[in-house]
Amino acid sequence: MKVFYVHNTPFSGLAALAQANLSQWGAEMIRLDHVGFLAHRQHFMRAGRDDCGHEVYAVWMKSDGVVLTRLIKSFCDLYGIPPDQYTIRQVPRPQSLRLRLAMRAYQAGLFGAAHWLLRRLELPGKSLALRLAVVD
Amino acid sequence: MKIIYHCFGGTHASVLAAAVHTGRLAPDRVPAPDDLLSLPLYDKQDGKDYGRIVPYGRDARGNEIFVLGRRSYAQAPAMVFRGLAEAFGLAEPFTAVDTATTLNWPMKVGGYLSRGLKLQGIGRLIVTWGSRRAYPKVVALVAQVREDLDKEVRPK
Repeated sequence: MKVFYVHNTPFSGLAALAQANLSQWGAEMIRLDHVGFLAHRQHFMRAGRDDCGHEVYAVWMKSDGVVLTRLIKSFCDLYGIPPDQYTIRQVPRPQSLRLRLAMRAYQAGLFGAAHWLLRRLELPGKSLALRLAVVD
Repeated sequence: MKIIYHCFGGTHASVLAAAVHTGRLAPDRVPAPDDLLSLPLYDKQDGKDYGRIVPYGRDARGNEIFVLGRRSYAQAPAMVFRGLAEAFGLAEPFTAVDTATTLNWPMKVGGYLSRGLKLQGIGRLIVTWGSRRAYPKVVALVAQVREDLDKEVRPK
């Protein structure tokens, strides 16, 4: 089973990493210094494997989610990939105000502001971990 | 090989290219407006079809031809499809061809009037006029695609 997180911001990458990282580190943490994809306006990436053995991917581009979801489904249909071999997940609205602001900043094309806001979410001290609240 | 022609609505430029590629339209003769309007999918798809890959036929070499409307996200099909092909380890190759390079203003305006505002009378008049003007460009694009395919299959 493959899981595709889709969104119009790099938050789909963060959500995918969070799911994949849960199995690796047992914590909902992502290190921003390990995350190079945040600067991409559109991207397709493999985040890893979650604790259920699902391959987790993220896709984002500046579009409404409907087109992106249809592109994935339509391409899978074209190649005869059955729907039970993949699932498409929309990134839920984050609960944290700062994360919501960062998401809005990405959507407005203000990537610098979005990065700044994400950095503010890092844990105290020298840790570069980011508490991620986008995966429900 | 699967060849996916895409444009904003998947109903004008991409359909023209697919029609030329599948042999529905002769490359050496600019089609009449009625020829265009009788093409499958020409000026027929709209918002509910964005993002759907629609089969259009096969070319003489057995390649499957498709059309796709992707709104203004011209780079999206290639990026998404490449990623999916890698993720699923698909063996059969594909190519996604952006046909928006052949568009002219009459096609954009006429297409918007016809598909966006449902003013088909005036919209179709303008979009078919624009399509006929753009036809040589469409034929050249398809010829380029065929040439690229030849290079890929030709042994080195």
